[in-house]
Amino acid sequence: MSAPATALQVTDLSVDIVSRKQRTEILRGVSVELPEGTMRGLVGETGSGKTMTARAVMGLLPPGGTITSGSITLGVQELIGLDNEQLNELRGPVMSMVFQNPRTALYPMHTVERQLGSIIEAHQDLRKAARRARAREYLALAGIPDPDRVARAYPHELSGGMAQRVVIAAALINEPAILIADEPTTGLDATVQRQILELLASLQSDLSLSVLMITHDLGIVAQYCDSLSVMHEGQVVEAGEKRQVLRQPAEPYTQQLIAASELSEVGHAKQAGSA
Amino acid sequence: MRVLTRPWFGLRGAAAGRGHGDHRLLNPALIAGIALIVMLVVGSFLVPALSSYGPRQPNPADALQGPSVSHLFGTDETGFDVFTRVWYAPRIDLTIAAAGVGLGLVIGVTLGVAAGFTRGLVGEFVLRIADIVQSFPVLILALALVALAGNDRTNVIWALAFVNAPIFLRLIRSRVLTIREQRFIEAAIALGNPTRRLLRKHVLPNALGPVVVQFGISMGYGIILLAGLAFLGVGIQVPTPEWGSMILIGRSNITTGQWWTAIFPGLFLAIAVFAFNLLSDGVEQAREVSR
Amino acid sequence: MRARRIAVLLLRRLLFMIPILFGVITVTFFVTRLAGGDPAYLIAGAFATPEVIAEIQAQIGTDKSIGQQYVNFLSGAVRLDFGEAIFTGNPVQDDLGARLPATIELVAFSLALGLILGVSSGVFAARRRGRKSDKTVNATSFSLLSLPDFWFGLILLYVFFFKLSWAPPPVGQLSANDPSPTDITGAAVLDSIITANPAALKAAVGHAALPVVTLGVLLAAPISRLTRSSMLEVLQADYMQFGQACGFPKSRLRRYGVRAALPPVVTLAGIIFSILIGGAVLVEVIFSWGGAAQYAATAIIQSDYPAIQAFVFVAGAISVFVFLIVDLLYVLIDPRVKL
Repeated sequence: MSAPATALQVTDLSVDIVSRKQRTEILRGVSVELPEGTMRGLVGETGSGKTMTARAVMGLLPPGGTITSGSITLGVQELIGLDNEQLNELRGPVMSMVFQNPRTALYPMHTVERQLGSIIEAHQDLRKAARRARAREYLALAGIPDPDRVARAYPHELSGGMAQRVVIAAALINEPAILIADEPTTGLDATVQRQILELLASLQSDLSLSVLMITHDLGIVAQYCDSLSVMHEGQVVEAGEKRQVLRQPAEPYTQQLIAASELSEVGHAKQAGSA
Repeated sequence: MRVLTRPWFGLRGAAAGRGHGDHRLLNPALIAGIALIVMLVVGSFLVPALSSYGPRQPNPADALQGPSVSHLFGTDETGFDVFTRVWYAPRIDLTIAAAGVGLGLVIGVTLGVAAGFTRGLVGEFVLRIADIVQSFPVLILALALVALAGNDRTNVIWALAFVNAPIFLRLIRSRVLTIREQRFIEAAIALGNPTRRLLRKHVLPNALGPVVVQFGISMGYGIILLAGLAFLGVGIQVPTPEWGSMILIGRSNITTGQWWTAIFPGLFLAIAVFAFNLLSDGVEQAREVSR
Repeated sequence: MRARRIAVLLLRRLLFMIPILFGVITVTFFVTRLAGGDPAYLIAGAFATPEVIAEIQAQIGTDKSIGQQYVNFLSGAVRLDFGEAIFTGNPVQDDLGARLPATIELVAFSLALGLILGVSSGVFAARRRGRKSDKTVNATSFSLLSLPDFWFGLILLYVFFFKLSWAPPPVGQLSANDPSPTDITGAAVLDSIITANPAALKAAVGHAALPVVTLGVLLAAPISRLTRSSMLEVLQADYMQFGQACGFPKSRLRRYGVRAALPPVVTLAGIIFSILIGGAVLVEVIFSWGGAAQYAATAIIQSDYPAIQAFVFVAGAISVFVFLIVDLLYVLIDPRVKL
């Protein structure tokens, strides 16, 4: 079996936040590999640098954020050093991102249809009618039962789960190969969380997406991801295949994470079963 | 729509979006504001005392002289020394504004507490009245009040109090309502804690900061307002060494080139307003730091 | 669906206007009537004989009981009949009607200038947050907040009329020897446009320039500050990041940002408009504008009781209507507003 090609490769990435007074190291030599057509979990607690890694990939570092070393490649394309216009060519059609809070990620002034139309327009040369049709098509793809009604709604009129489906539709509407999902279910009800994760998982396999799933929840990783990287204080402390890392964590920090999660019981049970 | 805070908009939230650099309670704005106010107050006693001209002493022989060594800011058409008068003016402008705004504060706070603690019709009624009073343009209301009540300083003070009271009323009432919502207050009320104690222990300390901020803003606008009235000949009358009436004297000279008669009083007027705006902004900043 | 709800809102608001206007009338009456004693004495002056005072009392109606006076004022206000102005001898409503367009023109142009300067400088400052240019804009707008409009107007007059002779003398909307448009509304610029009179338009714009700049520049300060803080909030919003993550070009992001930052500015603009109807008094006086505000100032100085009463009411009523319009505008431009 040949190793699958790499969709996204982050190598030795270091990021500082520079303000007038001080320089803070945010990421220190982070490497993450996302093989094509797989889902990788990027796990860590708040402030561990997982979101910052995603933002660096998307070219969306906050003000003062500077990449001091490392490389980010999509296939063969190096991203570091690209200017905003060049990155814009990639954002959407090549890589895309789903945000943590769907209610604030959607533009409040426009209807769903209109903003999806704008997102299509940024990358594809389609007439208005075609854009409308495509918007509805993707809303349906994101599991929205009545795309027509949702298309005409304003974001604040949608429930959290519905809004996240719209965000997912928006992220996928320009057919990216890579999707970064930044804690896509954190702000949602437990039942809705599950639906959204199932949706992402099925989209991932149907569209053969490569997904980087950022989460603090090892349960999500255990259930949906193929591999994972554990981040702690701006570094990747452990990475590997899901089964291997979850069953035989090498690092004490990973062991702590597992022990603290609900997985520990499940994990023990599984371990016991397979032993 | 409840944003009727009037022309001093924009000052609110002046501190918004500032960096986290400053962590001192005494910030530059606060210091500068206080320093300017002290300068004006001290100067209003010192300068006229040291000056060789009186603030109400006409000298027709020296009328409309440009700025010179003997008359630093020149003289106006009756030969008043502009420098002396401009420095004397804070005694009138600041006193009247402080009295008017202070009176408005006391009335507003009292009514605001009442409106906040008495749920039901009375509170609602007071609030509606305040609403309607606030929908009138401040300047027109003050002008009409002073013009009809009679041209004297007391009436200017009452007019200032009248236009400011609704602002303080709203401010205090919203504080009282916020505090009432809190659990421990509900418990305290349930336990029969007297209202006065609640006020002293919980409402007033919390409201002090915003009231001071609003006082600064209202002072700034109050000074402009009373000078504006005087400029129209309403309230304070012409030979009074007051900035607005000095600008009124100098107004006709502007188009014939004697700029100093109106420019210097206006400059001092602007400095005084600026000082209170700074004070207000400084207190707001300090509040943000201490939070 | 939303359109229907907006219509319902409008209807409800219009109905709600009735008690508010009633309140405005009442407050006007009590403020103007109870501020002093009988205005007849004020009008008559200190040396008037009792006969003269009685005559004036009969003319302005203060010989009746307070309750009767209130009912009279109320019924007059409802019919927009405020009696005769003592000074001009005309019905007050006619006097005000003839002069209000000039004031509204001045206020509208000033507000437009203030919005252009304020919004653009506020957006500019927010985009350069923390940099030198931001601080400059911030310091400028903060200082402008302290300038009295009547003084600022005099400075402009000195510089642009006396020193540079760029501006015409402060004699109103037009000088005596200017080509004047046919009087339709009483607002010179508007009349010149309606009657397609380019010579008059040029003169009218020239005369309007200084008063409009006076008010416009000062108004720009609060607008700029509000725009900046609103824009800062928007720039940090997730949807701007998401837009970027979707590959929106800069120009579209900019439009998104400004559009989302605008609703509070619209509210402020409405408040300013209503304040200025009366607040323009001082600037009108300086430039002898001849609008309703200057008329009111004259009325106030001459203790012209019916005229004062009418103007206070009109100014209050206009603000109430402007607030209504602003509320509706807000609903139209911000879909998040609950109906």
